[in-house]
Amino acid sequence: MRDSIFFQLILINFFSNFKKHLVTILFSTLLLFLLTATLFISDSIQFMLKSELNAQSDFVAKRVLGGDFVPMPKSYFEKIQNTIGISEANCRVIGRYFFDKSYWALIIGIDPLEPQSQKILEKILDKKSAKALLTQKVMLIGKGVQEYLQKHYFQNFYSFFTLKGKIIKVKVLKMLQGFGLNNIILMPKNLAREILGLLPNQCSDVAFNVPNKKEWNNITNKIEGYYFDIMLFNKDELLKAYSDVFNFKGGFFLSLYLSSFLAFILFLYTQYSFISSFEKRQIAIYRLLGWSIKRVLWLKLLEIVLIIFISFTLAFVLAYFFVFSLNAPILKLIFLGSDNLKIFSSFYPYIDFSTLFSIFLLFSLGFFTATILPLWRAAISEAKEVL
Amino acid sequence: MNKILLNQKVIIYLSIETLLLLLATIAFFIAFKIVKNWDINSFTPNQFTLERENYLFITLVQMLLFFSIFDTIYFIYVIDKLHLFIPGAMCAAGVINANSFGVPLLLLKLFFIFLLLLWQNINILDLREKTFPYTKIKASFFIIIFLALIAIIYFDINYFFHLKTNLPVSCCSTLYGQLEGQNPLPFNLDTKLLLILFYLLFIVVFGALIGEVAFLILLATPLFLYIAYYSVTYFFGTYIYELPTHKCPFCMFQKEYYYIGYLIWGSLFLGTFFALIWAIDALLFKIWQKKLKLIAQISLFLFVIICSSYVAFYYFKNGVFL
Amino acid sequence: MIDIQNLTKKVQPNQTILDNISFRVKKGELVIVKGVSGSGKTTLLSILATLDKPTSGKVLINNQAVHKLPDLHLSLFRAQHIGFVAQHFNLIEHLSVYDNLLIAKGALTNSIKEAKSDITKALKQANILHKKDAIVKNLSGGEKQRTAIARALVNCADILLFDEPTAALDSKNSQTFLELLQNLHKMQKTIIVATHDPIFDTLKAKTFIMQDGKLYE
Repeated sequence: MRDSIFFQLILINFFSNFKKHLVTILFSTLLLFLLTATLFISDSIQFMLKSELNAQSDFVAKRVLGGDFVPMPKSYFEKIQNTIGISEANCRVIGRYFFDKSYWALIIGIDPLEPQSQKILEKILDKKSAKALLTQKVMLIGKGVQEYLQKHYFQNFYSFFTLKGKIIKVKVLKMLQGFGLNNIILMPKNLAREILGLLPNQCSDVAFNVPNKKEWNNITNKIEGYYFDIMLFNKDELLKAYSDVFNFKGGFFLSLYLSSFLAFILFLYTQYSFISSFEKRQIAIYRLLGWSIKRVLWLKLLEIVLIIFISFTLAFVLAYFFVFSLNAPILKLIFLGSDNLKIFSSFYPYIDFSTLFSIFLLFSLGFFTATILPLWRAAISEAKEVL
Repeated sequence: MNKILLNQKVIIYLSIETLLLLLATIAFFIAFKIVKNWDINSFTPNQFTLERENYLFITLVQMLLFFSIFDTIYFIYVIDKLHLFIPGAMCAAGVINANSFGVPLLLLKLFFIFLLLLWQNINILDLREKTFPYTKIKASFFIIIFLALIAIIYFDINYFFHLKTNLPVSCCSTLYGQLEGQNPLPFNLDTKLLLILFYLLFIVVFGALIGEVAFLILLATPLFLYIAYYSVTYFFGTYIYELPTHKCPFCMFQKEYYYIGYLIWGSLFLGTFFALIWAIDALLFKIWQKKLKLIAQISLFLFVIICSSYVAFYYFKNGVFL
Repeated sequence: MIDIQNLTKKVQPNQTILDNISFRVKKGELVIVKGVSGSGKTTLLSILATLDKPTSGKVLINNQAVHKLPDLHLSLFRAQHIGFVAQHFNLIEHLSVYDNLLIAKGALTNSIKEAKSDITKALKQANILHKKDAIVKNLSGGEKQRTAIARALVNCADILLFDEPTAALDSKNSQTFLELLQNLHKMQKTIIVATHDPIFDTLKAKTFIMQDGKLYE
């Protein structure tokens, strides 16, 4: 690079026509920034969802009545638990608690003595909190819940209203860290039952694992055969459903984006079609000194490569900072509904390089398509015209 | 609306194809003019204009070649990723076989790159001479290439518009597995004969390259490509996956196998394409290009070494063959 | 060696600038083409510099029929054999002397290492090495001319063409130019100067006179 005359001349030409290029770089950086930032967001969300789903149990069985999910008798759980091939079956107590109309948190009841089907719960439960959960009325809360409590002047407790009108005071044991836990309350199972209004012999649903993936179909058929009011959901289905949503949203955004990209191409075309007499003179001097049309054209194209490279780097750095440091204000609303917003407090810095590569491919191809004709027209400037 | 068409990767891919078509269309118009009016001995302003347009034409086609290579790699990557959205598909094999347009599309895209490489080769020979003797041939040849691109676009549109997210497809084990003792290999070969043929043809092609026997290369290389495809799919692949029943040319593009598929198939196509172009040069233009030959030899050698070492490593690790 | 046969140049069908010109210049010869402005000197020079193509006739330079070459090969030929110093020098004003020479070198090679020694040598020959890093804009007329000459020499061209070299110079600078020209002549360069300045009458050189598109010896 340092020894290349070509490279040296590209830099010289770049700074000679700096004003013209600056406009281009500003526009393309802005455009690329927008696209890169959205892709960072959607990649990051998909990654977080995926890792969260991986930490979930393989199956959840829910009971349906009147087209809605309803609590399930414990006998269902016992039957499922005794099916061969199933492990870590858990009679879950889980449900939304509405603090007021606009804010709710997900209460998850846990029993530290039971095997946990959700791997993430095992990680959270250290000895101290396990002991506390067994003996006291305590809860572990996510960051979002804590913020709500502080806003409403609850220091380290909250008084829950049960459905029967009773008030239960629960102490905050500690805060939960990690993504996906923003809006969650963990508390002893029986306490959760009381607050959510479940009977002692009821579960919200049953979660379980089936370690042998080849048996998944079998088990599904078997359990759905036990009871006709049961519906089974597995991890893969959830994953596909989530992917579909983000695939759709990302694609929709991209389609909109492409129309502005088209406008950008037209802008580039006109921008580079205008060749100043200053530029024309420069090229004519190159031609006079024995630069062929082909060589001049390549020099000009490499100048474009430099511009693409600068815009791309700038956009990448800006988007990274915007999404992962500033937490993508405004832009994240496109992807996250208010419900999802509560689950994720911040974006996990995950980058899918293949997406970056594909943007780079599309963008540079568009750039070249827009500029090749004007550049060629500049390159054929005749030397004799400036003599 | 078809859900696949809202996939980000598909949108990007189709946009790239559109831009490539745009570039090629400009080049096509110039090529058409060159075929009609090119006369290097003429001194008319028309010829001077045409000569200038010729440089644009060359640059356009070179750009087309450059981006087509990345576009084809990207295409394979896209269909590999699409298996998440298509029920039943475990890798690109299921996705590409989801309708009858997929396989011809992929083959056409590979052939397209071969044509562009051949074009670029003629271009180099042409520009070397002071009289530009092959410009007309080059331009006529590009018209054929342009038609191939039109065909690709036709298949592209049909393939993605007919890709259904609700119809289950087969996975690679059903597509490439031996069902009920059926032999999927050509000429009723068994694995042993296939391998003998594979190494024999490699030696023939490699030897012909060293001995510069052009017509032999022209004959043996396509055959080697054909046999190599079956050898990788039905024999070497099983060692990559370390599973005797896993026969698939596409799964090796996945992360689990360290994306080795790109290297294996890339080196095979690069090697065979360059060997063929070298032979065409030698027969048609009487030009023997050392660089081309060297690239072909290195790529083919690399291809055979990678494939064979998978088998060798497996044997050293486990003491048995699959 | 330059061999021109029946050279004609028309701009429009009825406007002839060069009319059936034939002449020869041997290697190492110094040739002065005289004539009033508008007589076609510049057109003749730009055809010799391979920047323009004739309407008819042959242009042979170093036994190469340059009028037939396509741009790709013609440009290469121009870079290798022809140094052209135009009346207004055609330098890129906002760049340094060194960068201007680097552009000329870039037509043939891509290695800066290789270019550096040639650039220094050419600057020395043209007596402008001390201004190597100066911006062309800030140079005097004479210095600009010497920069243009250095640029013409940097690729070791064997044919040097000068178009009205003394038009922009005062008498002192013109005299310096004449000395430089004689030095170049001693280096066995083929030199053609198009001018109407009588100062060149003092030189010992082959002289042509150009009038209304025709050339007289």
